[in-house]
Amino acid sequence: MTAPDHVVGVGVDLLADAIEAQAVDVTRVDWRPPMPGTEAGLATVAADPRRRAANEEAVARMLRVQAMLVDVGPASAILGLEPGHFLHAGPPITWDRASGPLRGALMGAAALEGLVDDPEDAGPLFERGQHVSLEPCHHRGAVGPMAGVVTPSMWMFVLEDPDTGARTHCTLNEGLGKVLRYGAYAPEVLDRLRWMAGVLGPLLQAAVRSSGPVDVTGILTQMLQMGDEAHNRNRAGTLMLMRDLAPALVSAAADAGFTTDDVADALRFVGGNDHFFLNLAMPACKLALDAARDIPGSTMVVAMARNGTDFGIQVSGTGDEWFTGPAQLADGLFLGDYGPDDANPDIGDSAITETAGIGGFAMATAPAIVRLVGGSVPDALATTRRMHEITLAENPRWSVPVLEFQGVPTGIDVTRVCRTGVLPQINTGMAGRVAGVGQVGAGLVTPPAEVFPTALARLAELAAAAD
Amino acid sequence: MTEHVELRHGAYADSVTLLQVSRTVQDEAGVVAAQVAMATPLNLEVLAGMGFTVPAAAPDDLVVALRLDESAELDSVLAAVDAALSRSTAPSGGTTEHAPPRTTATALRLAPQALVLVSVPGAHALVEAVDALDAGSDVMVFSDNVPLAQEVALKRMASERHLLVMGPDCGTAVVGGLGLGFANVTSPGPVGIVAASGTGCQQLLALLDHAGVGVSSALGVGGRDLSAEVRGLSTRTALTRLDADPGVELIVLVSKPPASDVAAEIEEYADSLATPVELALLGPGQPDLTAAAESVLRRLDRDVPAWPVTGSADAPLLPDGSILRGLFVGGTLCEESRLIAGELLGADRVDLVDFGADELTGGRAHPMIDPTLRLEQLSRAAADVRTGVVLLDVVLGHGAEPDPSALLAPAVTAAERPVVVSVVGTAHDPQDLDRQVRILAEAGAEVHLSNATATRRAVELLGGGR
Amino acid sequence: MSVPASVPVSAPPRIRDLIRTAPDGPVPIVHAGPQAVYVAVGDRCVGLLGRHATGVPCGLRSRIRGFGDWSCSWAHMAGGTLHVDGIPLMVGRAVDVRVPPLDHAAIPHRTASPATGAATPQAVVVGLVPPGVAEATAPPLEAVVPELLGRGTGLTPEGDDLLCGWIATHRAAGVPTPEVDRAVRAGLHRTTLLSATLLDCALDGEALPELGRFLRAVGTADEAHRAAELEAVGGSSGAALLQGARLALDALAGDGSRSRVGAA
Repeated sequence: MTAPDHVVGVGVDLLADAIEAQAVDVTRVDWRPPMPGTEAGLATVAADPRRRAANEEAVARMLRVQAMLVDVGPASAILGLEPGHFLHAGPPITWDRASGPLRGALMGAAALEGLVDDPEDAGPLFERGQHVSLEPCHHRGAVGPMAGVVTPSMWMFVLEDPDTGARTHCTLNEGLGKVLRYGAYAPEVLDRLRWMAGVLGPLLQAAVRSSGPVDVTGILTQMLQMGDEAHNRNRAGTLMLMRDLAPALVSAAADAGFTTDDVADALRFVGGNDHFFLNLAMPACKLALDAARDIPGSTMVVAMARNGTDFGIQVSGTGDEWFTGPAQLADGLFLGDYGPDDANPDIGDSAITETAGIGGFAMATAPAIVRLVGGSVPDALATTRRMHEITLAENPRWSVPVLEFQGVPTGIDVTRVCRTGVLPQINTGMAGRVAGVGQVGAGLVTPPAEVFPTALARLAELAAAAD
Repeated sequence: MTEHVELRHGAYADSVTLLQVSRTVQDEAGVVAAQVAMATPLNLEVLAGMGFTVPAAAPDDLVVALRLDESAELDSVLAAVDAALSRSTAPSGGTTEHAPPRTTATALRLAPQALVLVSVPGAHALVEAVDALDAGSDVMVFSDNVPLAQEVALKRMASERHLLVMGPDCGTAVVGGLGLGFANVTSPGPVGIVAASGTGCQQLLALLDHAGVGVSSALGVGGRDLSAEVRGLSTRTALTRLDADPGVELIVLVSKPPASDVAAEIEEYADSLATPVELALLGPGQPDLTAAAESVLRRLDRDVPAWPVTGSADAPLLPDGSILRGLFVGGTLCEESRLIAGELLGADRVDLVDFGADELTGGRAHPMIDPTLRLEQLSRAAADVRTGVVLLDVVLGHGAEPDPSALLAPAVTAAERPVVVSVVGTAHDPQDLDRQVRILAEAGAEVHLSNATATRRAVELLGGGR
Repeated sequence: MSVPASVPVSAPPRIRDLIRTAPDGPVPIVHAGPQAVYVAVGDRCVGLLGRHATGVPCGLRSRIRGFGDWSCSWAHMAGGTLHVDGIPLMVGRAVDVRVPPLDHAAIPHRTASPATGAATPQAVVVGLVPPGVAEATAPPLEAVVPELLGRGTGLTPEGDDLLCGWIATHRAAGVPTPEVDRAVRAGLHRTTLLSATLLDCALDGEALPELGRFLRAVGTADEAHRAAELEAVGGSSGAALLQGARLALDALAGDGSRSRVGAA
């Protein structure tokens, strides 16, 4: 036998010193005890004979997905939503526990759908709950940013993986500031939504149907090399989408019954909204992650989502179960005079981007926005490197030029989070805690730590049962 | 006199690091006693023994216990504690951009072909070791206190993947000349060892080195590998590896006697190999390690040398001194002495302690690194009039204390009794074997290379020899 | 990159023993390159090898990435430790540099020409044999040892490398070559100190790891890959070592008949 050239030492430093003294390279692991109470579960899951192959399969399935924008249409037609049916972001929640921004969005949407005349009158409707129902977007193949409220008349993108025919959906992005998803419901908010349903949506539908599918995964590949991390910065992605759709938008408008002014308004709206592409990035991420669901033994996180009250995760090996804890307050910068007291706890399905390895996980590729979320460029590089500690793989398609084109950290591993105590880093917008206020800032947030030990305990239980 | 005890949550450091921190703080002006340690049951016992009252604590808590005289300022001593701790835990890189890997899995991404050495506390060892197997790497698990069921699971996984798990509780390994854990510096040669015993392996390395026979590899498998539960899973892989090495002419398997059906399986497996396998099974009715080494030499057609003895145990026996007190750092050496001396003297005249045993190492560094507990016990043994002869072992090699004899020598002289020591080491060990032997001999001890001859000599001094 | 306080190294046992017993005092630097520094300890050449250096059997192997920051201006022995630029080289372990035992029966039977001609640049080998020698009448190897020794260029002339490969392969097979050994020993003064040391190593069965791996692979599917790996060593050293090894293998396969150098 020949001596190894390299030893990885985990534990006592003195033993690593003794190996270095023998002219062999040593990589030292900065080991620390895992999250409290996880030792036994970690050992059980590590020894689960299904785990390695299950995680390899989860990653492979996820990376195989190609997300194509294939259609645009109203939620009533696409998801079969009926009047009184409300989708929302995050894990399941009831009106009585709903936070200000979620309530605000639901109230605005109730008015949009004509259930009430004035949003302010919608409270009793939801309190009684007789003619309304709430359901997470994730349960209907959809994702929604911030409050994530979807109602039948809202128009949605339809993304499809051509290999499997699997589909995911997301509403059209309203822009920043006073918008429904941040809990605002002023008349101009509802007017904008009506215009989006009456003009923007149908125009985009005509364009997509005439131009053919748009490769959203491909745009994501490019935008990550152009300074977007696809959560808090979507500028390049939005412009590329415009580039791809504008010709068809112009040529298909007349047949669809729209004027050149309508086209100009639509282009001006999309071009003026740097976040327009977010609502394509999110369902693209969900489409990839959905492919990794339901693999027994896999410890990979397939969804992270918040409803403004609870933060929930779903894991491949544990089916549809949500593991939840209290949503945290983001740490970051505030708009205008707003301060920490004005902010609502974390909200939105947009953490699906981090779950898929972009957003906060790809912070290193978006130095332009590090200040927006209150960080520095070295922090951004360190964040992306740190996320590799808790992920299973690198995404060869989505790479970060400044890190020597290393693939983004992909596939959050519940066990790795419990072992290191390193929590997923999420870039997020902050909604005002009072219904109707809208956006108050942007920053960084993490899941509540306890959701990972809870998920681990369930994985261990299932592993023991499978043994 | 001021006493200060505090618990710090979430402030982990390994036991060797904390030993160094304790020593650093101990040297501060006005510090009478200082102990910075994880709050394991054993360490809490040690702290209680030092007279500290420690509040209820979990093993992951860090305890800082200080006893100061009037000249000391608590704040400045605490500052010294913090400084020593932060020095020891500062990541080598220093910048956040290049933080060191936090798990074995991520470390192996940077070094894909590396061998992995795991020495985290036993409850956490499996997880790191599985990372190694998942990446296709062999792994040595130095950690003790790993549950048996976890050992079985780990070794099954390794066996399916044709990977080698050395350990758990594997103190010693040599892989192609590279010493891992507590390992002696060997020379290349025709012998390959598979060892279920760390210090048993080290004794063989030392004796064969003295006889001029090199050992290319010594693969530890952990003390339970040949048990009915583990069934020699690592032993088989280790035998296969050595068999495939064209430089290995003879394989020596060192172990306690295996469970009987396991013994048959392993012997059958050994017979199927192209390389001959010499079984050196330790235990009642079996040859001792020195006899095993001699048997290996004869099988290789080498001369069996006289095993070296230096100095003489000159101190007279005390009138009431009838008991053999043995204080060991090597578990197998202790066991060997117990068998030899027990047979010759009777069990009631033999009092031997293995300071490397699990119950004496929970959250503490191994006695080959931290001699404190043994030195304390040695002074107690010397104070006991019934102590006839003191028997000690000193184990040299990588990982062990830099100068163990220097610490033992004053205690040897102070014992004022016959002291016999086995110094287990090879000519090229970093501590300098000759020098270590000389220091102890000059302190009045009779120093042997062979633990078996040392034990017989101690028995003889007690008048019990044959 | 900076210069460390001490450098851990691994050492072949003979070099370890040589250094341990060498008297204190300055030792001359024979050669300092970007990846290795060679000094003369007594009548032998000892290398301090960086991580990318060729693993000569007379070298102390380190993980140094390069000697760019070293002055390599002086070396000395003190207390059984070799120092370069005043930096002690601490021997932490022994490394086995012996060629692996070669099972005589495993050597494939073959003729010299195709086996040796294929992978070896003609220019390297042709220049080593006396001009005009035809295969059938080529002299036995020991007769041309004096002409091969020191023949070629560089720190290890190709003629010496060829001899090293030939001798080490015979050691691997356990076949003594007293006449060649005697001729080599008698002519060691005619080549460089490093090359003379390497020849002495070969006489003791010590060689580059690449040669060991090639010999282990002889007759297996891995042989061509290992031959290419050996051939790639150094400028022409590897090719000449391979040539010598193949000459020896042919001789050993041919039931011990003498190697004829013109065979190439």
